[in-house]
Amino acid sequence: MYNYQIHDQLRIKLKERGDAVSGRWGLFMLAYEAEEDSIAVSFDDLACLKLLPSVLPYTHQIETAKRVINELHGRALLADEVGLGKTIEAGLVIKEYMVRGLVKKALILVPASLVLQWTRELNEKFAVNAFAQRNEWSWTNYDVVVASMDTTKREPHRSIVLGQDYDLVIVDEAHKLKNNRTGNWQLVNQIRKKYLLLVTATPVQNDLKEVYNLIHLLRPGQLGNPTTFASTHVLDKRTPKNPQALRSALHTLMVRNRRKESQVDFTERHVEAIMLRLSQEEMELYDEVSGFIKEEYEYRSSNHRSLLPLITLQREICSSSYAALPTLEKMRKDPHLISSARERLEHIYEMAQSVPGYTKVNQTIDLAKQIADKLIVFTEYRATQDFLLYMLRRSGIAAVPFRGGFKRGKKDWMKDLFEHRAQVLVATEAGGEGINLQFCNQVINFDLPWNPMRVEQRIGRVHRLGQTRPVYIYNLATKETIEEHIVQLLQEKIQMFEAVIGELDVILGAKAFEKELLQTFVESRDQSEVKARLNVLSKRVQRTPSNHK
Amino acid sequence: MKDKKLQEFCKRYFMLVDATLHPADDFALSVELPKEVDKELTDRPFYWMWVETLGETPPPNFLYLLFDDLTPSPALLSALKDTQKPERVLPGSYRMQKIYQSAKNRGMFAVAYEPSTHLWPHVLMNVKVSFISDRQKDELLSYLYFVHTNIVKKIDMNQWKGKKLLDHQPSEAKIIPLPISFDHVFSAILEEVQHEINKRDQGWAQEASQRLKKELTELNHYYETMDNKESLEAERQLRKAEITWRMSPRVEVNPFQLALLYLSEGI
Repeated sequence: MYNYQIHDQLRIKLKERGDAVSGRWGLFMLAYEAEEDSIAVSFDDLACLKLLPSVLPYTHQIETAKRVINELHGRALLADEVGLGKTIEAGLVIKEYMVRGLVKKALILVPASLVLQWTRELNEKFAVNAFAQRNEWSWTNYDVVVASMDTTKREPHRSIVLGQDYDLVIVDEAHKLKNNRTGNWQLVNQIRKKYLLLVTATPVQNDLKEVYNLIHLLRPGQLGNPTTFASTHVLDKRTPKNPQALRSALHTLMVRNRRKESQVDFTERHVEAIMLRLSQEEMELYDEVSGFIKEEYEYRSSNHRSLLPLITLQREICSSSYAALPTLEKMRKDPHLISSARERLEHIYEMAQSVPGYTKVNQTIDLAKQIADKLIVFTEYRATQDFLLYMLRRSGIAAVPFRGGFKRGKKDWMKDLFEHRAQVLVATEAGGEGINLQFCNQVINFDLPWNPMRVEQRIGRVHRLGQTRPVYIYNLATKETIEEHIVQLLQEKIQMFEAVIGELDVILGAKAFEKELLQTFVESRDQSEVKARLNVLSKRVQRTPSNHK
Repeated sequence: MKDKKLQEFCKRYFMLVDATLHPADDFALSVELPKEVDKELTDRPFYWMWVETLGETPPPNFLYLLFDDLTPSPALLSALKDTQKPERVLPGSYRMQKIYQSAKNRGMFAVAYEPSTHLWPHVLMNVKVSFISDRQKDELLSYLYFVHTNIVKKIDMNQWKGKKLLDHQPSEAKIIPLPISFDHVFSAILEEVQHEINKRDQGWAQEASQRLKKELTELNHYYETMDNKESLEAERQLRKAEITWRMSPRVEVNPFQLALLYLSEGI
């Protein structure tokens, strides 16, 4: 029934000594006690818990690690909501397997910006001897290697990795494996591995097929073959036929802890919308841009041209006139542009350049002075970020930038500066991933992403485990613009989004959602129509089955 | 409490490997490491290669290990060498991992004597048994082999922990000389081990092999329903190998310690 294997190292060692036994009894007993302390006496308990030098995991994290090992048999999707400590859970799993001797060789694939952080956490919190991959010899020289996915999938690394056996592979930000035609997915699929952990807060973004692709890596056939999956589970791209059935099919491979259900006491969260009135010049510019977008929208829709630049422009103009300049510039150079549109664009461009004052920026500066404490200002746009930094500094407020594109060292540096020297951190969206700023409890959303998931990720940077104070969120919005509606939608109906985001079986496709919003704005004749249509939209989302046990 | 036990363990370790203990706070150990111990506890192979190539004698290394979060007393701290930074030692920390590893290597074999006049040779062997599928548990088994009668007996190591045995043959003792074939000792004890394991509950292995069978069946079924079976053959074989690797039940028997004991009574 089982394979029976006898190790002969001790016999070999003795032979090397010519079968002459020597050594001290005291050391013999000491070694026995060390061995006693190193073994795992039961299948079910976590043996690693007494061996964690500097981390005290939360109950839900311990339960998750146990479930992955005992019930999911070591191949699992860790899909906790943001801020619950998925890294700790993955760390517990790798540590436990190592303590038991089930894992010796492990590969941890993460975005490049997180390589050093993962390496540090595994070493410091879990005393796991992990190395950041540096060159082609790293793969064979070290047992536990943390590497960026992008490096790993390039030669010569790829061939070396595929030539080895891994006891455990962990993929962080695993939503980057949602498409099975990409190099990322194929790499992970081809690695020979015993255990596999996929870690992501957003296993489904736009299409149910994404979760199918993730699950395929863990256990092919769990959701049937592509045809039966489509017929059994998919109503349309984003709606499952039978959420209950899909949920139970996922249950044997997925752990998803939710903030609401975890026993972690998150501090209070206060959200406030600050409604501003634009200056006359700003309002004129806004109207001009909106008018242009409406026209272009009709033209582009009937000519099957991309609507993306319009969505971008509409969102940028809500942020600041500065943010819109690069897009306006690009559109101006578009050879397919009809000449009347070009003229109109030239005019808009000039108007944008000559706006005399900036309502939202002034408000931000006022707020920063009023709060007189650490503060993060989020914006989606580089141009807005630069401008905000400039204006804040000009008002005597120490501010530092933070971007996803920064190298790890620079990110740490900026975080340090923010913690010890500056009052304000001006961050773009991409600044979010994997950095923890719990020492700050004030957030201004200078502009809002049209995607509730991203709003949650922003807030999750500060409203997470380790935050000791209540968190204050200020959403800036200008009256009589799209923003007014967006803020209302994202803030007042946030309950709806919480319900939706939390559920894997109801998918709110970000891109499709953005498109739908734009459609609503350009097709409506007036504000009251916008309101009515948004109501319908939110009702429709709410109706999607999302009630869980 | 846990830390106190750890400190006791470390103190015993350092004394047994002939490190020099210097005055320290109650919750700390200040030790001067012999070169070989230093090599085992600090991870710097290149340093040692360099030192040895140049034929130099490096100054001895010191450690100041803390077993509590208290602050070391300033008087003792000021006496520390520059190289001796206070270091907090916790269960599972790198330092403890190294100390455990060093203890295990150094304590693999022993010879010991009972303080008595007539002594008979015995062989004590400790064996780690691991029950493994995708999960795993371990058990330590101990056996005593009486050379004179060729008898193997399972023993409880806890009862041996307080036993006072000597590292050197007592001068008045007479040893009964008996030839020992270690090949024979190993096979006799390992036979007992297998016998013991066969008596155990096999439920875990049954469960594991059923799960393995089910996984393989379902995997096969999945690939059989695919239109492009042929092109997926490599993937199928890989997944099959992974499942077998992960889930096959096995028992690993790992003898890890052996002592030659001269005891006053046979068994």
